[in-house]
Amino acid sequence: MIIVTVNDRLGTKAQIPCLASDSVKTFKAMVAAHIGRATHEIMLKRQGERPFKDYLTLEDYGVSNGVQLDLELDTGD
Amino acid sequence: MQDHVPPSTANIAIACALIAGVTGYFIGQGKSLGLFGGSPISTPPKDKKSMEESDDSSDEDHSEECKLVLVVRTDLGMTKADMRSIGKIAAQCGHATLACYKHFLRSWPDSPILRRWERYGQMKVALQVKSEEELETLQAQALSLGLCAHTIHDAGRTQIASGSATVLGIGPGPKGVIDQVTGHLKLLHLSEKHMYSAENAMSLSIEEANKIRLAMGLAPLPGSGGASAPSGPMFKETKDEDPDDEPASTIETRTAAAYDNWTRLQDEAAAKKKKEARLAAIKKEREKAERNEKLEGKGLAEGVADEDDLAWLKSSRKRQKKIAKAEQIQKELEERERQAQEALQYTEADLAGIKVGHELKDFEDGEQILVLKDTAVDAEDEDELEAVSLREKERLQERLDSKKRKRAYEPNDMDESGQRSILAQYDEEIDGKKRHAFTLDGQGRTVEEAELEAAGTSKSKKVAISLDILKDDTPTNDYMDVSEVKMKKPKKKKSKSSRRKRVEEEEDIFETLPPPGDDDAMDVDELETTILKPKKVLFEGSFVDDDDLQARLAAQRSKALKNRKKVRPEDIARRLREEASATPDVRETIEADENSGLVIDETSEFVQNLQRSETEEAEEGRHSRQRRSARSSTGPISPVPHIDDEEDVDMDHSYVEAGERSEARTRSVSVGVTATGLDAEETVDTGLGATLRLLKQRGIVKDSDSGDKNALYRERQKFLADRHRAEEQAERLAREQRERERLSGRWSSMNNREREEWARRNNENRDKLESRKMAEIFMKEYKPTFELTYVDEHGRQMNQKEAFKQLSHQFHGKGSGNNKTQKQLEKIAAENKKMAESSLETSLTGGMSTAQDQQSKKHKQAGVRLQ
Repeated sequence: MIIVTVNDRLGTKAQIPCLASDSVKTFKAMVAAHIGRATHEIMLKRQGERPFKDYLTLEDYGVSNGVQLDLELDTGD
Repeated sequence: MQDHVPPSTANIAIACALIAGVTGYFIGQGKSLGLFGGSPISTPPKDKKSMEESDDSSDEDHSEECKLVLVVRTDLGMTKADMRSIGKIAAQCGHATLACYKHFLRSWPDSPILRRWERYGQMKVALQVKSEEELETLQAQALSLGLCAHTIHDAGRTQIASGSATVLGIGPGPKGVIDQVTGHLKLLHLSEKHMYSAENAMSLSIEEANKIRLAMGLAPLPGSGGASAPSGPMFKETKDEDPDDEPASTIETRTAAAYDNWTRLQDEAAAKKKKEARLAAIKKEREKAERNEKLEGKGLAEGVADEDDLAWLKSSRKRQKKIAKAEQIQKELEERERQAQEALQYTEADLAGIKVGHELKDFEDGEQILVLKDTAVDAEDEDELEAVSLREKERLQERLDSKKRKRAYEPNDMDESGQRSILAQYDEEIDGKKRHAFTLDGQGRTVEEAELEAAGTSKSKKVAISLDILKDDTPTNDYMDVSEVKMKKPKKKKSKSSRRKRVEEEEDIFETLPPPGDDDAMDVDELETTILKPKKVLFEGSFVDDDDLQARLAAQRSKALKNRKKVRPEDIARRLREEASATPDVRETIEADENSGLVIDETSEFVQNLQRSETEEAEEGRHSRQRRSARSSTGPISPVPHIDDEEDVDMDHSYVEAGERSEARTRSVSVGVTATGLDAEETVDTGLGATLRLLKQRGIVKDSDSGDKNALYRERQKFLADRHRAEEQAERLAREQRERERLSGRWSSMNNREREEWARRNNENRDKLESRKMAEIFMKEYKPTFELTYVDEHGRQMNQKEAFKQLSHQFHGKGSGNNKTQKQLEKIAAENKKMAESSLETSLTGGMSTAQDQQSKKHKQAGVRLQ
């Protein structure tokens, strides 16, 4: 189990326990439960990198315990 | 989730203080008012120690504050950041405060500390510990310091387990003392941060996360609060029912299985031990039983019946007898066996009829051991004895012989039977290898010997006459004996041959005729007739089945010949000359007569003609008869009657005879025409009729249905004539009518125009009548005939197909190709040639010669081809 911190740097910050083998989609669902936003509105990315794709896992992006991810509003573009 | 906003720590603290303050205030007021009874001044009695302390510090402690400390456990989950938890804490704290206060009141109601505490605002401090042990330790410390300490145990009705210590209340007591116990403790600070202290917060969020995960159908996160993993290593449960799990594939499964394995082993060992023990017991029992068994049964003394000596003696005699009898039986048996043995032994007699596969002389060397020869089980030959050593020797000999490469032919070589076979070297290959063998007869001799003895004499005789046999063997003549040959004469040929003979005979007659210029004919003729006579006899002998008519005819002919000999040669020559002038055929014949080579030709033609059919023969006969009658009836034009006239000399012969004679002469003269059965080819030079006949013969001009055509022609002519006549008649009638009209008065009274009109009308009427009549005639008589004939540029009449082709060519403006044209021209040329050539021409293209060739080939006759 890993704990991943999600932060949008605008006052919303959450620590989400999850498994490294979870897909980004699942993780987004959990984030959505924490911050009260719909899943499709959540965009996750490492700082300065491209957004995560839903069908990959956190493992694939090298997300491990204690990693902080940037949370952005996904407008669908 | 976020609906409960956690109360800030400040709020909680204020709330606690408020409660405590208010409570304390009212208690203090009540006390001061004397509500609680007891003197407010009097100090409450104290414990020994606390007394001392309070005594010591009573003066100085006046200033010191008193406080009550509430130590709250935080590891129970009460400190959750929700209102229920806070309420729980508050309730527990209230319990604790009340418990402490009551205890103070009971034990030391007028305690200055209490008083002071009450007076100074009933200060209460909430602290926190993380475990029950700590709580207990604190309680113990507090009690040891003489402080009042009460632990509150929850009833477990709401959140936490029943009986678990929740809050420890210490005091009220002087601040310094209480701080000794609880000074190191943190204040109960229910800030958000505090509440989400690493572990708890995580466990909380994990639970939430698990809920989400379960809702999404994912595996729950490990280590959540509810299903917290037990501390320390855990053995996996063995899943015997799971077939997918490969047993002992991983270390974990192996370790998991270890305990079970161990217990199973133990069980097995125990079971084994038990089993062995049981077996041993059984065995022991059995042995025991066996031992007892041996001891059972009769003993020596028990076996003997109760008999007296006399009886025993009697029985012993009986026994003696029995023994003797048994011995005798034994002897007999032995005797019988011996006899059987003797019977089984082989003697000479047993070998009777068995063949030995060697020659007798082979056994002269010494003794040989004979064994039965190996044969196939289903082989049909009898048993045969052979000696292995001898057989070996034989084989060796054979091999040596084959190596010698003997000559195939050995004139002196002879079979043992004294006979030589032809090409004896192949006998072995044909009949198989000859084996020398003899058969035993069981009396010390062989069967062959006996047979030899029986037939001894004849054999020696044969040897004696062997030279004669050799002589007889001389090869006979290659050619067959004449007597042996039987000629088979085909029936069909007989008639032909007879005819041929007849012709030969006739030719003979010809030849016997003396040449015209010969003077000394008489002697020669005499001689020839003498030769002729036996020939005739031979004829009659050989043709038994021929009709006697032929014989008689022949005889008459010869007679006639004799008679003719009296005719002088000059006459004959003259006659011949006359005949030659009459017909070219006869001339030809004479030429043939002079040129002997042509005779064969005619004969062959004749023969060929003879093979045609019987009907032609009949025809020929009829012709001759007709000729005869014609000759008798008509006069001096033909040369034949002339001969007749000549022969009036010997009138003594009968008329018939004379006729016969003349016929013979005619035959002889006109052989070219009739005897061959061939008409001479017509020549073109004699006239149109002959030419037409020639063409008809060739089949070039067909005998058309001229009768029909004539009839048609005649009818047509008649029709034309009829028509003509009808026309003429109509004309005449019209003219007469016109005349009549002109003469009548009506005509004169008419003017010109009327006349014209009148004439026209009359003409019309006439025309109508005429045409009706004509039509009648036409219908009755007219039979249209038409014929389409096409003639090509060569003047040939074309048939339908050819005509079509030509028309097509004309229409399309192109003709056949080179090849086709060439072919067509060739064909036309061939046709022309065929038309032009004589039927006797012996080219390959047709005529008689090919047929003749075929015939002669069929009958295998030799022939001469003339070209």
